[in-house]
Amino acid sequence: MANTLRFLDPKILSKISGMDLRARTVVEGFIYGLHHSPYRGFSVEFAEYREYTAGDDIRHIDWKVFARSDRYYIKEFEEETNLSCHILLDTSASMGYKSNDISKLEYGSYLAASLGYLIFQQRDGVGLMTFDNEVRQFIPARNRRGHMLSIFRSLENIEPDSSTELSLPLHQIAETVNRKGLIIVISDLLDDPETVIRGLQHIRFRGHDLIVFHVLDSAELTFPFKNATKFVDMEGSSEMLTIPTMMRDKYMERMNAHIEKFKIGCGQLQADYHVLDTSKPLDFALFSYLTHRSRKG
Amino acid sequence: MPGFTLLNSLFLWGLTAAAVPVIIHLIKRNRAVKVNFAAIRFLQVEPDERYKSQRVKQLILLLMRVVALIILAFAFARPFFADKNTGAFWGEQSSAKVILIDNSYSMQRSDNFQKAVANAQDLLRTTNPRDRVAVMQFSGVSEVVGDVETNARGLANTLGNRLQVSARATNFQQAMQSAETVLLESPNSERMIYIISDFQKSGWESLNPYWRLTEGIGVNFIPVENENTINVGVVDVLVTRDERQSSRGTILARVQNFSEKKAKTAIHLFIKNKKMSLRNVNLEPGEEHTVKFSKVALRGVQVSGYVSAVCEDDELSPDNNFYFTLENSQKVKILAVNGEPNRDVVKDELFYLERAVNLPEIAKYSLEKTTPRKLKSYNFSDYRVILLANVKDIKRKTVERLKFYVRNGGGLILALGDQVNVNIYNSLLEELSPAVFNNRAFKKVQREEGVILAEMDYRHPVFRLFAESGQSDPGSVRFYQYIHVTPSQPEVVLASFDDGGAAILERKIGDGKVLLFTSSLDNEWNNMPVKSLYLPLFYQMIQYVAAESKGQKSYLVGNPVSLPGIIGSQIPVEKMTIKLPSGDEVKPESDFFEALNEPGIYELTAKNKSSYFAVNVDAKESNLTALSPNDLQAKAAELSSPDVQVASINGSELSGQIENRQKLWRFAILFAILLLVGETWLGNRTYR
Repeated sequence: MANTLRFLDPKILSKISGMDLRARTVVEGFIYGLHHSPYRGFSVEFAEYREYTAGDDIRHIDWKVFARSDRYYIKEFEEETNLSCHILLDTSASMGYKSNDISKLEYGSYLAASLGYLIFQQRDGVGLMTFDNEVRQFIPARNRRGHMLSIFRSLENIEPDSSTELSLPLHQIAETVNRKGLIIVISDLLDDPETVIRGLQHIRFRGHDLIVFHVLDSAELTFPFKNATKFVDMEGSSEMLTIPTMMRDKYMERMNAHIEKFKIGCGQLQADYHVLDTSKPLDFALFSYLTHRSRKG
Repeated sequence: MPGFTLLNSLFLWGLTAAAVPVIIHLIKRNRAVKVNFAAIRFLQVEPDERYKSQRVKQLILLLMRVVALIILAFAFARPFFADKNTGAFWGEQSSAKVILIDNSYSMQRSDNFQKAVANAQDLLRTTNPRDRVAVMQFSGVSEVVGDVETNARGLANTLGNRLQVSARATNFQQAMQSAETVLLESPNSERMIYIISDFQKSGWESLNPYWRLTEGIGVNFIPVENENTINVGVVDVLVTRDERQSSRGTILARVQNFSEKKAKTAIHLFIKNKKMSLRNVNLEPGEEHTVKFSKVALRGVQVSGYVSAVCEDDELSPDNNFYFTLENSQKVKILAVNGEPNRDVVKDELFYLERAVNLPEIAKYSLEKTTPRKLKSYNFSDYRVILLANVKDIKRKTVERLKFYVRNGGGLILALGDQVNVNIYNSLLEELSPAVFNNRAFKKVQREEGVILAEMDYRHPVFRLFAESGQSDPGSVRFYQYIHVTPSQPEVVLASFDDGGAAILERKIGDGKVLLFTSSLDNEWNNMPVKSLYLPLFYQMIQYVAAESKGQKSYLVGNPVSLPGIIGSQIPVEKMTIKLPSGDEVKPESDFFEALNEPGIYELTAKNKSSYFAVNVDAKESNLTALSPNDLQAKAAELSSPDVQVASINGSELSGQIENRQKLWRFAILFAILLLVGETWLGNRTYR
């Protein structure tokens, strides 16, 4: 398992070329690991055989059984889903921040690709929307061959740009996606919590399930800076000269309060909310997704 | 800043360390790193003021570090204020000072000399910069080792290399007179002598009781600690050849325990550096013991050797060896001047002595008689002893010749009698005689009664023989008449009669000796010629004035030696070479060789003829008994000019006083520590 989970490490993923390969590596490694995990059985599984009746799709006839028994049997699965899932990926300039090997945007991209691949494997429809202060790209949810390729390609080409204004794209997706489904938001949520939560509320109001992945760099979570530093805002031109050791406590207090607001807000909306550290493996996010799916049946 | 000075100015180099924090500050000063950051919204809005305040704190920290290092460097440099207000040792006025450091050989014990040097260095380092200070080392002679007007502390640093312990004995008066001469050359009105010594009593023996320092000069004594240490020394060695077999002899060594503890001592005899014999003695505190080595082989024309006392706990070594030399025995020629010749040989003044001395069996002495009138035709240097027997009066020229003769090692025996004119003797022999002759002081007693020899110094070579059992009893001789004399010093009396009158007296002049016998040589005034005492007593007297001055040549370290006297003839000095005990060879510059700086056997070579002579340390220095602090203070007050205040302090007190005067460094260290504690406190509250 350790060898498999190694591929969930963002640093290793960043060395693999091609978003599809990354996503497959993550998901297959993750699934392999699940055989030894308590989450076994949540995937789409074979249920039973049923004798063929007129009107059934002949594609579902199990020809191997026919060869042995000379009778037609239909292979039935436990569940056929028609879930449509939209992954919303924040591509604002702040997502470009990285204190180690990969940026928040890269981490978000891997996560989006991995989740999309996992969902696609479960025969659910997957869509992607990238945004900063407005929607930059929108790929509606589908479950057909070639759809994942376009999502992967789109994820490979994104660049961080502009400032974040989450509420607007959230409202847009709420208005755009009519069919109830699952909305996964991947963002650093560096915006006013109240306006963001209002956007999330709009999505929930439209009947969508909601998972929020709050992606933060480890430096943002721990603020490890020591020497005098001039901080430059990545989404603006403001600069701030300060002594980090002096500011750390206040920073941590504010960051924790910010996270706490989202945690409470998402809790009130019955949305899943997870803070992700870009230095940590991606499995936690995948577990979160599968837990959510199992809970929703 | 009046009188502000530093004890160890070299530590000021430590000030360069103050540059270290500045350099570190400049190298590692915080240049703000530019960082693109996403969550800038969570940083405080008013960072600049805080940042600036931190910068100020950092500068304060830097300042504290620099100041702490500067103060530490100053503290180690031992600053002090050399003025009255801060308790300066030297006072506020500039003055002239001489620091006298005792370098006699007694200072070798323990680490007394090092302590003395340290005390002198302390004095120099704390001196008022305006003072004129001279440093001298002294023992038998005084020597200026440093004379400074400005850089006393520089002299202090090099003082250890300039000073050296000598093998001489202490002479305080000579030292103080030398210091006085130096001080009188100084224009300063305030003059002080500081003497650092172990202050042995023996060093004061030569002090003239009426001598005082010149007006305006004071003396201050700084004694080094005097611990009760064991010291055993060989104080004298007497070598005599056997009368009948001159290749053998007897060696008597006087060994003394100068300490207050018992001393188990091994006495070794070395002849020509070969160990010949060993005696073990247990010496009680203060005991003097005579060790006898009999039938010692004394082969060769000239014999040299030494007696060594080895005691395990002995801390003073220079007096442990006593060196001696002995020339081949030759007949001792005696010139006897007969003051009362008589045709009746029995009544002749020298009748008994001539027969006693010219014994054919012994053939040790050769007595030649003459009269006072014929005396001028004799060359005194051909004789080793001149004896004046009941001579009425002496010519002035003869007296002058006699003085020269004695000073150069000759032996003179004055025997009195009814012919002696005491007035002439008093006027002419003042510089030769050990006593003053009382006018018409013929002491006459009843023949039946008489007086006897009652008190004798049995430690003296003349009488040492009689201390042994079986020897002639001096008490058997009756003296009916003698000339009453007044000794110049009590010590010169070697024997006295039971009525208190002096019988035999001694005076040492230059290399020679004079013995005065206050009675007659014949039986006119005593019955000695017919007693067994007569022959050994006069043998001992003759041998004493003759043998030690000629056969056994022994000198003290530091005393000049007459080279013609050693070699026995007048040879130009440029043809002489002296080989020192260390093996070095020197060419003497005059007939008097003064560089007897080390004890041992010296070899004088001239015209292929070698003579040996022994040089020993002065045994009086072996007695380590010191003056008490009270006596010292009293003596300082006594010797100093009445207008000068003196206060005797010992070495440890001096260190304490100097330490007290340098308290400033303690405060500096304390302040530096406080600064560093403050720096730590502030540093923990300063963000980088």
